[in-house]
Amino acid sequence: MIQEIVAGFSMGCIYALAGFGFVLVYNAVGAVNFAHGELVMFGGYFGYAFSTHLGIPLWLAFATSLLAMAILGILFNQVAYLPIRNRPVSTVIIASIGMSILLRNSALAIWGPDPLKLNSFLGDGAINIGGIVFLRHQLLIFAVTAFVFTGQSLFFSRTAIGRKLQATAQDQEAAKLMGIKVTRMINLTFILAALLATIAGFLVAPLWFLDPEVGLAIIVKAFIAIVIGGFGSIPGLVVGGIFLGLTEVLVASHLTSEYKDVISFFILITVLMVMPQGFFGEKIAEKV
Amino acid sequence: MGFEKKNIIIAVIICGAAMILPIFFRDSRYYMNILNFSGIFIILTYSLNLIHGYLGLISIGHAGFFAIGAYITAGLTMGTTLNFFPSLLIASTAAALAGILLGFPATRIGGHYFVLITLAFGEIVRLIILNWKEVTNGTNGLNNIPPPSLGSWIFASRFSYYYLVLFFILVTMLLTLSLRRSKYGRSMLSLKASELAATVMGVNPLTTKLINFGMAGLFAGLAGGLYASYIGSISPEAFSVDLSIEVLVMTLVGGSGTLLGPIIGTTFLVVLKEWLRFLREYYMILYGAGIVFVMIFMPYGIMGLVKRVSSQLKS
Repeated sequence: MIQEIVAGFSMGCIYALAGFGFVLVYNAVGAVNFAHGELVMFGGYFGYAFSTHLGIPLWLAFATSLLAMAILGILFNQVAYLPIRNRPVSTVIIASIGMSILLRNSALAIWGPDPLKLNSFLGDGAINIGGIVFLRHQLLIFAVTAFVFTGQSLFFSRTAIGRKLQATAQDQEAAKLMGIKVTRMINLTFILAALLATIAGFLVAPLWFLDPEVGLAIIVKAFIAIVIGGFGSIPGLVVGGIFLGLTEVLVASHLTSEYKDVISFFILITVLMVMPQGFFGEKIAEKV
Repeated sequence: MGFEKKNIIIAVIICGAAMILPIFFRDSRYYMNILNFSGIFIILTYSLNLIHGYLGLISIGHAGFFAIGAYITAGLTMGTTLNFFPSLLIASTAAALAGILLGFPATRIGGHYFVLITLAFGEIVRLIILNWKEVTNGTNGLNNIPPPSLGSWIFASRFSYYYLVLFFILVTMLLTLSLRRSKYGRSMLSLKASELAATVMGVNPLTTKLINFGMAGLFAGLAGGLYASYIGSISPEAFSVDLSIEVLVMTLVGGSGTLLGPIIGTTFLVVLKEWLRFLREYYMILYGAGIVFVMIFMPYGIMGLVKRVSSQLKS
């Protein structure tokens, strides 16, 4: 039982990290990026390509992947968001679906359909702490999650650039009048989302392996986590992710493993129907 | 009145062309196959055309309705003594009921929340047909589904199947047109423009949305039933979210909310896919880029482009 909780908890942390870049973009510019899962997948694939094909150490591969993903984030914004940012929400959603097809099939063309493995920073071993066995990779996941989510709150509240980003997210017109370069802030938002996707990609790839479908698989889980926690809420995202991770593991081992995803989707629908604002989220009913 | 007459003439010409078209391709199994697939997908696209074109909602779960229609039609024609047509009717009704069920959340939430609901719906249907092995035969799917028959007449050839599909396309179009002209059609468009204003003016969002979703489910179920008995074997991987997205793209490329848009968009994309088959996996990369391109440069699809050009020519 306790082992299951550890596994569910670590999976939940990954869902939260994978969803974080998505929520960041949603909060900053109101865009719903259905291609964020593919960004997570590309983060992992870049790591694989740099560490395996170039044979450089993993930490250097990570640094190079961050750089490559930052460039991909800017490109993404310039091609699929900036030109249509004043159009209806549905246009932005569909363009992002187009980008997800483009990225997924690019991965298929470059790396093929077979699953590839990216090594973990801490290797494959396990550690026994007080009778509970932790995989070394799980400890890494816990540490990174704690670091990223405390780091983001400091970044947005204490640094000048973080405050500028928040101002842009709240009111673009007002931010522009205050002398903030809005387009630059939007670019920066997409860069941050791509960097977070890289971190999530490096953490999920050693567990799930990399194939062109993994992006879709992870973002669907992240969506469920986001909805449970409340759309746009960052504490909600962490709680929702861990809730989903634990539910999945407990359902799979005690109830049904074949239908565990069906149950997760039912949770998504039920939450949206019964309490659409989730645990911590915004009200979604239209104001008169 | 003159406008009406012109429309009727155009409709008769298009119908006539559609009747004659397969005679030229009668000997080519390849071209008849493309025509039949286009036809089946046209009906499916009319379904999403209702939801997106008339209510402004996005669905990426349409494969769910399509799968319900396909599996129930296949199951009834194979497992019971029922003929094709009653089976298709039952299957489409089941899909319509699923549509109505999905209509309820649509009255409470919209935008990206609704997109997630449809995603969940499509995945739930796919996971159930994948895992409920006693009934659906799991990954192996259902094979040897008999072709439709009417009395002693069997729609065994691709040529005869074309006319069966054409008949159902016409039914779908007539239903769409009569809905558009009815009180409910106008209510839908007013809800799309502004839900709040429409409700204040006395439009009942619940009834209107349920009618829309019921009909959309019916169309997609019909398409699914025709698909299953046309290809003769179905398995879960055909009903993934990729199919739902393909239908969405067909709707948008043709021009959502128009009467001819689904026909144009679907035929265009089916033919384009065949034409660019030599690109293999690179086709899908191009396809993704194409979606972004269409969203940036022609958000109202081919029909929108035609309207813009023709109004510029007139002025």
